[in-house]
Amino acid sequence: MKIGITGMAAKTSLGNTSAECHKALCEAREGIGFHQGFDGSKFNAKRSYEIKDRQPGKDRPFRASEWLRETVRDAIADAGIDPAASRVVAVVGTGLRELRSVEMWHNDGAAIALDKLHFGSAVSEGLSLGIPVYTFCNACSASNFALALAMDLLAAGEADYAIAAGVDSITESMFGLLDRVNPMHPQSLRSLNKARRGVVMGEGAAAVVLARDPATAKAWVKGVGLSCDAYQDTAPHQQGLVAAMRDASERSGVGPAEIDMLFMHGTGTLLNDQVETAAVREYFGARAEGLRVTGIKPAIGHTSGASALVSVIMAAESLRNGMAPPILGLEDPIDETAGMGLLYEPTATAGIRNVQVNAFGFGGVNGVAILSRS
Amino acid sequence: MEPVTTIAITGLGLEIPGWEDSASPLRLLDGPPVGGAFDPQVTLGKKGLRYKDRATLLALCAAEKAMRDRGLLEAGPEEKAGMGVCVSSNFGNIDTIVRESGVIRAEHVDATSPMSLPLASSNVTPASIAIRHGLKGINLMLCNGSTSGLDAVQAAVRALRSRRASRVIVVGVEPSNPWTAKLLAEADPEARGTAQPAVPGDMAAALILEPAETAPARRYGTLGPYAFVPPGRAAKELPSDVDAWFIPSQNGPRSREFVASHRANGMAKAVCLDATRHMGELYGALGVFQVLLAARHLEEAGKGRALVSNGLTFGDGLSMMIVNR
Repeated sequence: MKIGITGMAAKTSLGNTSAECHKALCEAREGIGFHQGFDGSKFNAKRSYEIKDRQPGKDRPFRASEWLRETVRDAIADAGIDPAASRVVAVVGTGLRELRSVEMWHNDGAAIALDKLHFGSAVSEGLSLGIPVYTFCNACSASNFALALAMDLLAAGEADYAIAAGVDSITESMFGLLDRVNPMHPQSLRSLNKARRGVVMGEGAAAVVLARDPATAKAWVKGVGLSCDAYQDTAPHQQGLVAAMRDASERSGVGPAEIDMLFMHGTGTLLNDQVETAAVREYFGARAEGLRVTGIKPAIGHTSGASALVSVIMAAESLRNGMAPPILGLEDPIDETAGMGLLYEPTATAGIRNVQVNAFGFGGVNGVAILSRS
Repeated sequence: MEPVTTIAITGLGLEIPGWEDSASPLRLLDGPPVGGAFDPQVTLGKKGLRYKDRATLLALCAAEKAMRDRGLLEAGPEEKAGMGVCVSSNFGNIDTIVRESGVIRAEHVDATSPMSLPLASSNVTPASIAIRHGLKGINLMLCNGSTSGLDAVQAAVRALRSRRASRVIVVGVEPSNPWTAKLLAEADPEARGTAQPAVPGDMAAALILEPAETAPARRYGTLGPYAFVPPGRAAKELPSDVDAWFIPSQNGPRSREFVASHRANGMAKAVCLDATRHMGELYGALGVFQVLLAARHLEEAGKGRALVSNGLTFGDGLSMMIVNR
């Protein structure tokens, strides 16, 4: 059985569609700006990668639900299926669900209904149809978990089509606590640079429609590997990262020697980039030499629960459009990457067959997806 | 490899502040637990509890008891490494979100506690369970409203069938605090259909699930079919050949109508059991607690099967599952 992506949609600080985001990434644009939603005087770090759909200082609740509704609707339209005529299920991965709305409820008196704190109603509104929806809060790798679970549902025959989605808006509490623990107050996210100063949050939403043995696909999802470090709350753990890569390899039948390009998680924190690079070296061995490596967080920030699936969709766009985006702002990379084929410029993807997408999250939850050209 | 077909329940754990462990949990169907202060140290010891939120502490206690019940507490690391965790909670880390965002508004980000950082992510609870016991399989946090508990049990079943874990510990947890009480009190007052707002429960329930083929002889029961009915769609006929029916929380007119109409049609013979009646609104914890009670109920009866159902409150759909002795 082959599982293919037959429809996809994404939204980030760089664009409202998957194509717009990919084009902007390949033009080396950056979606950062001063906070619109928060009072900047309360924070040390003043900038983030927000989706710019507010007047400065005027926030509103349920923006994540709005984006999810749109991306699910767009992905279904892209797939050209009628959800009413088949069994469709949706798995939504998120780090922060509608906790931003809870903050606005507590601090600004915004009204919230309990069922709007998870994403069942947003997805169903996007489809104008009630379907089973599962909201998993799996931190920064949530949407690779969603992709894995959606694949499992399809493989088990529980649905004809499975939607995997990811979404996150920035919460004051998460942005604030990351700010609190980072004395370097980053102005931008700069993955793999020696001079990187830490993670900067971003906003995004992404959705794919998966089908069993479709005639054609935008890309094939060969397998998604999962693991848990069982090590520490917030720090990454090399063993756990490698375990997820090995699981992805076993499930997909695609070994490290057959991977041609890697989308790194690349959060731009001192420790994360170092540990991820070490894990890549351990897993790929000699293959790490010359392995084409990119990452999109310097351009769109860390979109948290959406980030894995945004990368998956950008990887699929890269295979289809013939061009992969560079690692924005890469100047003096960390020594651990020596010999790896880091992408400084937009790079042609002719000849690239299999792409690996890494995602790692708080709580030591790791998800690694392997895509292949259609 | 042989496909995993049947999933067995092989361990149970329950943490209710003040509740005497030795008593049968089935007594909670007849009357409220005698309340008392929550002291996680009794179950967990002193180490590493200081910066955990209440939901995580409740969940850790229930998980500890389930691991002990299954005989895994003292097992070697290799015995546990393949295990997964699946937690269901809707109110889990709301206290941290409210508190820290309030501090930022009132003062500045520098006035927040850096120790709150892990708690700002909703998956702190399953991560903490994995870290305490060394569980490196699939690790999931489900926040899916009033169906979340049974949805989490089913997520664990799927994870076992997809070989993403050798066993899964499933925990349903909801903490009581001023904010969860306020959220429930404000929840859709018109749809509530009663003047009395729901009061939050405060508890965690845990199950150990594993493939029946490799499970030990001592087991509480097995899990049968699961179904999810999205909001706005009508539930089909319920399986009437069950001995017990664990009904959804009655904190909403839709769930009350659902139970009344099915009791009048087809479900008259089954014993009707309301797990929230004396416990407060258990929300995302309910489905897991119900499966625990169903397992105990069937164990006492020595045979039979139960229908477990949760949802139809606060705008959500309905989840159902069969538990067999």
